[in-house]
Amino acid sequence: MGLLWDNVSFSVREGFWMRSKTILKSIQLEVPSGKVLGLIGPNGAGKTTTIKLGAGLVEPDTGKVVLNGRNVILPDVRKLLGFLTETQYIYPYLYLEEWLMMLGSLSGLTANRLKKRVDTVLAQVELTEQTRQKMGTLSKGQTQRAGLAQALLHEPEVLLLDEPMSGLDPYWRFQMQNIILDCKQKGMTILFSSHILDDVERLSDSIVLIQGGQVQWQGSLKEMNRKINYYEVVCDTDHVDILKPFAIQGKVEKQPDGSYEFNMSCDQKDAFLHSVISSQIYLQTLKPVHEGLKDILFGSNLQRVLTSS
Amino acid sequence: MNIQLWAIALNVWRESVRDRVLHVLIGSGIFFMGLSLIMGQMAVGGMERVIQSMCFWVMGIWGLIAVIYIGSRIVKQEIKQKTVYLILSRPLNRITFLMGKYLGVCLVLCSLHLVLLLVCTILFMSKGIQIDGIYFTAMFFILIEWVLLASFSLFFAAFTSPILHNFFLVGVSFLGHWSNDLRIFSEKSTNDLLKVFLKTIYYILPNLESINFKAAAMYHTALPVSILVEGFIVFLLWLCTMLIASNLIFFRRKVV
Repeated sequence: MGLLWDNVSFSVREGFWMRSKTILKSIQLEVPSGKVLGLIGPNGAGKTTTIKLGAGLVEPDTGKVVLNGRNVILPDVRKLLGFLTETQYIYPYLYLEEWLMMLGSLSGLTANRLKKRVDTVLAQVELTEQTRQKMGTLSKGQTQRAGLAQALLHEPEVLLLDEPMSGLDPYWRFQMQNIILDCKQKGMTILFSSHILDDVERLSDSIVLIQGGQVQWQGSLKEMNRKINYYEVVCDTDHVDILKPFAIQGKVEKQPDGSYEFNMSCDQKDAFLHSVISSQIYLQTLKPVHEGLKDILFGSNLQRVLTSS
Repeated sequence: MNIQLWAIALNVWRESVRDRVLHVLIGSGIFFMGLSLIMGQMAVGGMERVIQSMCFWVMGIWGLIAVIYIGSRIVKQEIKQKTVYLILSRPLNRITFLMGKYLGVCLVLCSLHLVLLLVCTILFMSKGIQIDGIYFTAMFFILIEWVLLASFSLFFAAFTSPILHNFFLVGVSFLGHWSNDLRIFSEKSTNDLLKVFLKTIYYILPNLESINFKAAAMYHTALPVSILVEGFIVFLLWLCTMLIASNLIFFRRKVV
């Protein structure tokens, strides 16, 4: 169970002649219960539309989106959903508290519980002082945090986050990551899209690559056939000179604890391990550094990864 | 009352009463009512009539302006500014959304009506103009007309652009008040095509004169209950028709 896009297609009509433009073609996608799925892809790939379909904002042309077996178009199913848009669309004349009260009421929260939840989420995103501030006067980052607050307000089972880090400073990017991880620990099912691939890599259990309105690849990062770029080595030795031939560009750095750290190319691995056995090198760690998502998606390696997976 | 419906209505009301344009509208309405005091002094022996005419004119037109301003933005702006995303992603259906919006507009119109009615009443009392039951009946039916126009506004807003919405709404308001004249023209016309055309317009538009009792209020003419009931039934039937039609259109519409 979880959130499932079952053979979903979606198109819009545009232009003077209202020609049909396909946004998504037969998307088959699942976010298993309690897991975090990262949605990646270039601009215009269909990420936001995929999320909107998941939030029940639009009805697919074909197929359906179901949450725990029930269509998300049904209003009571959406009680379980929390949705954060990329840009926060606000009512400028409403106070932050009024805005949250309204959205909370729409989610079925009443009286004391509503007030309590509003206070809790405002504290969570550190906006308690802005409670009686008009939405139109909040900064972009504050508005984004307010957006997260409304998504968490009714304690949903599923979170749909469209570019949650958008407009946040480094501190709040970090905090946002922590909140997402915290939600994951609480067992929430999370789908989020992001252009920041490091965030996707850090937060996701699995990722989906969407291109041209189609799912190009879905799987966990472990399943992805990623090349090892180099190894990170930490070791102890009395003769630092014997390490230099193995280090990339001969760069070996001494650590505060007296150990040495350097990066080593893959083809040196066997020779280095041989030296560890024969020389006076005490190996602490030998960690492979895989190619990043960025290298795969924007390098020439995408096809290799997709075909081999 | 449905909590969701109330939450949306309250939001519309809060947003609107904090909107400066509405403040300007109220201010200008009060200004024009006050202006009738000066204009009344210029009219020889007709001060009472000038004040009454001006106040009833303001009550009629300002309602239309308010409906145009709020109504043209009510659905379109939600979609254009995408605030509708966070509302429709919540567990509520589109009927609740649209009816909440309508209820909110009605609350704003009631507030506007209350302020203008208060100013008008104070003005009448200060100049010794008789205030009776017919005065309040006429004022009540002015509000009824605003509420009806708001339902037309909702209907047009559900499928047209703001400009077309305004155009249609002004058309309904003016032709609605000329409804009886249209019928008379159609009966007297010798051109069959024109006859059918005018008669069609007469039937497809609401007869707003059936709920217009301003003249009776000015001349303190007693109104038979049957006329008031008839007017109220006309209002109710048109209101239901417009609200059902708006919902049917909005329900099928792709808003995102």
